[in-house]
Amino acid sequence: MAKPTRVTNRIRQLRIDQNAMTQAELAEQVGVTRQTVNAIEKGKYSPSLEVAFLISRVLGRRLEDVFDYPLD
Amino acid sequence: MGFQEKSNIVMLTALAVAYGWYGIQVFRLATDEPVSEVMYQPLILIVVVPLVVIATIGHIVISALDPAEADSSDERDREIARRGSVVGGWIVSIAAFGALLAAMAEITHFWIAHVILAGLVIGELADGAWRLILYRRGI
Repeated sequence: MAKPTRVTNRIRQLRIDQNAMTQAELAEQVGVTRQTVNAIEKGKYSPSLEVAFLISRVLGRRLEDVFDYPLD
Repeated sequence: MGFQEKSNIVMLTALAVAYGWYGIQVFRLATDEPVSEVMYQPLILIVVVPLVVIATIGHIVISALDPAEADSSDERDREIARRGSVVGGWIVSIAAFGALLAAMAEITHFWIAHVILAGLVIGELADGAWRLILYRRGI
């Protein structure tokens, strides 16, 4: 089955780079549930622009360094 | 599994158990006497009791198991709830139209009431089932 969203991300890798930040820690700082962070990482949910910006800010990266939208 | 997903499962279970019980009771009564004489009205009120009891106990249990996440929700939960409500809303609308046709045809009140009730219950079940799928499959 095709993934619900074409948006890809590097959140998991960037969390590991950030002193092995957990999903729960990232979720708390962003203001979403841990399950939503997990769904975003697995490509099961495409976050709103606001949440995407917040995730990027918490991870200390630019939006396009965290999220991508491949054409194919 | 997040709180809202667990809550959805609790409500689905409560609805299925309560209205499953209601369906069995009404079916038994309807096989013994003409439907126009079936006293379904008290059952419609009584069925709310197991529904509320199961839902309340279920929510107490899931909150106690993970107090930190109790009643937490975010934009993903709200979007899934919105999509579920759209499905449920369609079913309720179709049932309302069916009940209107039944009333215009002057069918006995028993059937009109049950077309409406079925629409409400099936609409809620479809809403919950669709949410369950969206939580697992993704949106």
